[in-house]
Amino acid sequence: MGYYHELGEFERDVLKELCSIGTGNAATSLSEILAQPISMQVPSLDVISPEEMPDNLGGPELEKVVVFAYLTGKYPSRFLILFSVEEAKSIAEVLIRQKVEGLDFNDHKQEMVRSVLLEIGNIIISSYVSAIGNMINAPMIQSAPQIKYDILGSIVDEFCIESASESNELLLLKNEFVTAEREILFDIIFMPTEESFLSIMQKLKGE
Amino acid sequence: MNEAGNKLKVLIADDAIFMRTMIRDILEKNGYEVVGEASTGKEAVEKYQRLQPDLVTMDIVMPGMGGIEAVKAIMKIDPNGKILMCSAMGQKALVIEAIQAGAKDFVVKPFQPSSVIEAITRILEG
Repeated sequence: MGYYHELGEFERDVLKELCSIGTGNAATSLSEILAQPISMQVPSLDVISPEEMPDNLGGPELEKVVVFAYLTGKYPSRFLILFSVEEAKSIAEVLIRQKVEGLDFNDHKQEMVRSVLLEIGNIIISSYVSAIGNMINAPMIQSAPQIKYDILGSIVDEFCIESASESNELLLLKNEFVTAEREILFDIIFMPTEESFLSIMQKLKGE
Repeated sequence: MNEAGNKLKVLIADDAIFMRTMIRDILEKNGYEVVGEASTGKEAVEKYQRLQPDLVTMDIVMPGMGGIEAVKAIMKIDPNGKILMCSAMGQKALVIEAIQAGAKDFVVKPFQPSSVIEAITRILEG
């Protein structure tokens, strides 16, 4: 059991509200960039350990596209956004107006596909960072994002486990957006350090 | 167009090829000439000196030298330099820093073509 489980009902509600605002920002941004109206379902929020993450998202061998960024400054945290391969290809196809057969970020011919997905991930992460910054009225400093296409087991090892000493919990937010033509599904992982999480919660409660 | 009837020259600085392509498309459709692209702040400063654009669109977060450092370096070279910052949501503090460093305006990604053109017109006519 970690710090999230020690939160009271009110604090959990505040956290859910924060996630909803971030998701709202993300829907607005995606709608603008895809030039399509987007409606959103209420995101589901879970708190799990990094070790539980692969099974929670389909199994350690499942391939995902991950965009990763971290926050520096007073509230150090990590953000990951995960797309299924099909979702990533389909988003890229809309934006580059070309069929994407397979994904290979080492292939220079796919530089544009990689760049589209990196930027979409960056814009979505910024939507959540902005929600936190506005709600706690504090400047948030976000790193340049990175992108990777790998199996979930490796993604956890690379982006989550190395910070096990900082945090033994992560917030997993499953999002579902709907356009006129299709659904857009993606998962967000927010990993603040314990100190960072407690400071954010204190600020949210106005302490 | 400038007073001599030539297209106004713009340099695009962004580490994402997708964003550079999108901005280029917006600019070219609206009568601007894109004279160069840069993917880092350092490259933007070098190309600014060499290409002498009328305006630069500058991403804030880029690997190596970022957009704010690049604004500072360009303003040292040309105190009349005209720079439009392109920021993601939630970068208010960085946008303020860039404006204090000499950038003239900003747009927030993802942006509509009209907001980019309006900001550029304001800067170039201001």
